[in-house]
Amino acid sequence: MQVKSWLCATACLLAAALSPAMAADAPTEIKIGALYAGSGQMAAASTPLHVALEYWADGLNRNGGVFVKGFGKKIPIKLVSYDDQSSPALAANLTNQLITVDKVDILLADSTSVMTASAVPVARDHKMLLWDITGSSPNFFSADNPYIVLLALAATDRYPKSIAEFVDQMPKLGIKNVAILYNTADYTAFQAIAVRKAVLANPNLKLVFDRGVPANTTDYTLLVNNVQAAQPDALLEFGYPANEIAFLRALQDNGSKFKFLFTGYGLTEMSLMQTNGVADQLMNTYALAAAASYPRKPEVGLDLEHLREAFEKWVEDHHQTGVEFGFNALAGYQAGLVIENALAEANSLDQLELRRAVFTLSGKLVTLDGPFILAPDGSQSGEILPLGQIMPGKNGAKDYSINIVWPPELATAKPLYPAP
Amino acid sequence: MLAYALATGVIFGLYFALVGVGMNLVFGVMRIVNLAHGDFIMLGAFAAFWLFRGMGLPAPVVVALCFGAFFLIGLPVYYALVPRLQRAAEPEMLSLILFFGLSQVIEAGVAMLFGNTERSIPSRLLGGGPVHLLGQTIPYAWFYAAGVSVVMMFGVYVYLYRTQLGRQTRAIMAQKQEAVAIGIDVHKISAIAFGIGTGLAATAGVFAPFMLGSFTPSIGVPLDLTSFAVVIIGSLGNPLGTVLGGMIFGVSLMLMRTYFSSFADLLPNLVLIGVLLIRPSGLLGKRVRHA
Repeated sequence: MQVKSWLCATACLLAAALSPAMAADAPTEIKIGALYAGSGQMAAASTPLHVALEYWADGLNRNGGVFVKGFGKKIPIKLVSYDDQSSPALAANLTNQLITVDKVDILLADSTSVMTASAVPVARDHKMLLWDITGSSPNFFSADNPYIVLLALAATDRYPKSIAEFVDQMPKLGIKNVAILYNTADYTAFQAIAVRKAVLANPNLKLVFDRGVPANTTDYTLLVNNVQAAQPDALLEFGYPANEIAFLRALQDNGSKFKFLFTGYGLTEMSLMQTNGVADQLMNTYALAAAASYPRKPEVGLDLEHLREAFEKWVEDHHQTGVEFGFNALAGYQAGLVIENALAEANSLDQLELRRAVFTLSGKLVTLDGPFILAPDGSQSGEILPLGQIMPGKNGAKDYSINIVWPPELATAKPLYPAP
Repeated sequence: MLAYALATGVIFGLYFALVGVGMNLVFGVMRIVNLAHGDFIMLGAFAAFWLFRGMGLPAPVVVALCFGAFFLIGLPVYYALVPRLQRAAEPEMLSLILFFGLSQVIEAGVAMLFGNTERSIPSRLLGGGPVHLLGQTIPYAWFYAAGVSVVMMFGVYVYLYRTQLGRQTRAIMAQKQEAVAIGIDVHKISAIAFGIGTGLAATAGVFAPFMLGSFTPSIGVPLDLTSFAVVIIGSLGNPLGTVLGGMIFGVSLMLMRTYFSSFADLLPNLVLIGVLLIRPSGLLGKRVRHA
């Protein structure tokens, strides 16, 4: 009896001794450092992404915070954010500040490859894992750098897989001459490289126009005329939202039309195109069917309609102006989901342990963006988007639909060529 | 393609002249560099967005309202900032810092109020369809913008060379101390010039969505760079030299876009460096000093 009591008392003491130890080790908050562009050229992409992160963090904090496996409990999140004003140099300084002064537990990059580029070496030097949201340039990833993972977008050399594969189908449609027009920033230039390679590899296709334009190009009238002068059967255009709006405006103003037109951002920020009155130009054209336009069934997180509704309500309640629900908002939410699920697998907040935790999600996590699959170098190989043709509804672009035309296993219709 | 590039270059050049002329007028009269000039263009674009899409007003009314409203806004801005600035030892240098600060405040304020989303205005609101020229097409909006630029330039010419206020303005541009000595009210004339410069910037802003495709609160700084290039080619301090600067810039830009599109955004910097090295006073530099 005495022995039993002694054992019980010892067990209780041990449990009591261990529990406070775990609680004592647990931080009072998880600090997540983030940069965003509140002004400048990247602001249109960066702002909705950051607002979505705030929405995600707010939702978790209302329920006690994020669960961290290593501490066995939920811990509130503190989002530490700085405005880098679209300046890569300032982003590098602020990334350093987040690591050394704010001592954040999780370090997020600003959106786009342009802004992520300056954070990659800083994070690596400090042996801090960079949670790269949409910086998809393959240049950021290498086997000898374990301090980066890409969350919300396939690496740019893999991102255009569907359109690059579809290029081989073009001769069957009667397409012979192809034109490529692209923004020279990493994100779009790498897509153009992948597609150009596919065109040049096909003996039945001829590249009749191949031009890059600076990232800040917002007038495409002359370029569109030059493309038309080359008489292509198909034009493949890659740009950021500002480029895309200007490109579509040029088509509208010129009354220009192409028999086959692919746009890189056409479906990625469709609501932005609608707001700007250029969505009609996208009817019967092709684009990668991004999650904001092509609902997928997520296994983790909200589905598209519930997310859109919740996000827009949150934006309204928090008086955030001019924030569109599109690809970038989804990317911010996706980043939050990956962090949340990784922390649920992490035994500590050690940076390499966090990397291990993120990698446990690879191949298992399926969100609105599709399956989350990491390559060994931390780049994203999942989240590949199918190629869709945007079909007008009864009211034109207001109630458009998408015909998936590639890959064959997802195809819902055959491509309509030439475009009516 | 060459003829088309030249034709569109001339049309764009006329618009660029409108973009730069306000900055040049302000520098010519006050010897200060208004780095918030691009932000007044941006504000003009926002005003036009609201007047066109929100109120459905016709283009001539939008142009008149924007010019008038921003002329009036320019007057208190002048009296609040410029006289104090000109009492400093080096007003030119200090103006760079002061107006850069003002530029940042305007951009941040607009971003907070309206967000950073891209905005555009459908060209159909200006009427007309694509114009066929040299076997290709040019948007009607470009001709409209170029036409308004010509009218505004002519207005600046008439003001400077055919009115009493204009003669006083040129007197200050030529020799400020002598203008004071003969009884010209320098502050009054300068305030009017600042108001006109601000109004011209806003008028350029009305057409920015049509010429530049879309706009955000951050278009100010790139437009400042463009204005600088245009102004320096023509000659800093000579408002009418801006027309020549605009044309050269417009044609060069379109040629670059046609033949070396990847490097088109290098143009403002290349032109600035080239002109400063070869003819620092600008192509019409002599006339500034002896206006």
